[in-house]
Amino acid sequence: MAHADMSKVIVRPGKRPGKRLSKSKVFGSKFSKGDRETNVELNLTSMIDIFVLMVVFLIQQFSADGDLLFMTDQIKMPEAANYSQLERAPVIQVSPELISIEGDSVAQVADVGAEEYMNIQRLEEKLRDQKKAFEALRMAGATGDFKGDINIQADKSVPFKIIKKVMYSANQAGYFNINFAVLAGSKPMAEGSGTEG
Amino acid sequence: MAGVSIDSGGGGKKKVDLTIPLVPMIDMLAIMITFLMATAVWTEIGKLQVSQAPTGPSDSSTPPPTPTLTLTLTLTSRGYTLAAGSELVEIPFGADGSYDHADLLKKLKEIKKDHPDHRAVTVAAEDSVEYQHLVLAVDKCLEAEFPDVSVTPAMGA
Repeated sequence: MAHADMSKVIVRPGKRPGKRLSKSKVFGSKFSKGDRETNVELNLTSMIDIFVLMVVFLIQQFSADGDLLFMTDQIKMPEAANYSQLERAPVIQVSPELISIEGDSVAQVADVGAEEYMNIQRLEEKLRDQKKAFEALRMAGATGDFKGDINIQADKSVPFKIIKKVMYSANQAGYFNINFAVLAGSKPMAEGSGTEG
Repeated sequence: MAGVSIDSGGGGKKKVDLTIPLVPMIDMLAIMITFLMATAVWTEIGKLQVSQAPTGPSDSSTPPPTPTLTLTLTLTSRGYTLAAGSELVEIPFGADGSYDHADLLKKLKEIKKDHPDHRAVTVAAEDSVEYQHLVLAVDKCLEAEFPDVSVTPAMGA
């Protein structure tokens, strides 16, 4: 009886896993002796499944609209639910500090706010130049009519005093279809699609 | 590597082994994922089309047709003022201290119900009104099915 108890107590020195650990598929092999299986096969089927799902999802999300505007951190656009699709047109950017057209700075917001004139001279000139360039292209054989579209990409905190001057300048330069660029907000439950402008 | 073994049949001993090359397929998928992730646009952008209401006398010889109703929404530092013909409705700030969009939408829908053919609304704003409030007002007008929105400075602004 005492001999049997001793055989349980005296064991070979070294790592001794518990019963459950020694049966584990992951850790059990660490304690096994002898030749180890080194040929590991990757489970490609599930990997390809994930890849295909990701590609399908990303293609669904793919949109070229983002190229129409220069997205910057300085301009936080407002949200709207009843929007229509943005189209290619000259973009006037109005940040809290700067007014620019197609990336070219034309005026400081503080200066425009302080002025009494309704129009922004440099903006108007640039827009007239754009219109002339469009007409020159048309004369050269380019297709498409001048629709007078302009996109205003303004920061949501900009006061209307600045926006009205930008709109007035666009009007003076011959751009009458003014579009406020907005981020897509949640749509009302009753109507599924945006209104067409 | 995936492989398909097809028994050619006919008693012949020839075996036709097809191996679908997975490596180029995985390469292509990985490149597509990288490209699509790099070019993905996570923010959807739209537009609200408005026009600028005429401020001066028109130079065209034919006068514009007289609308049946003159609908003007004014954004002031106190809230909305909605003028439908001779009727004037004040919509002060809501309990949270901002513009009461829900009430505005309700009033606009009531007007639309009474004048289903009317499409035009003029949104007038004071100089101090922030652009986001103007956009939201235009958005509510569109939601109430007034698609012809004109924007103009408020009187005296």
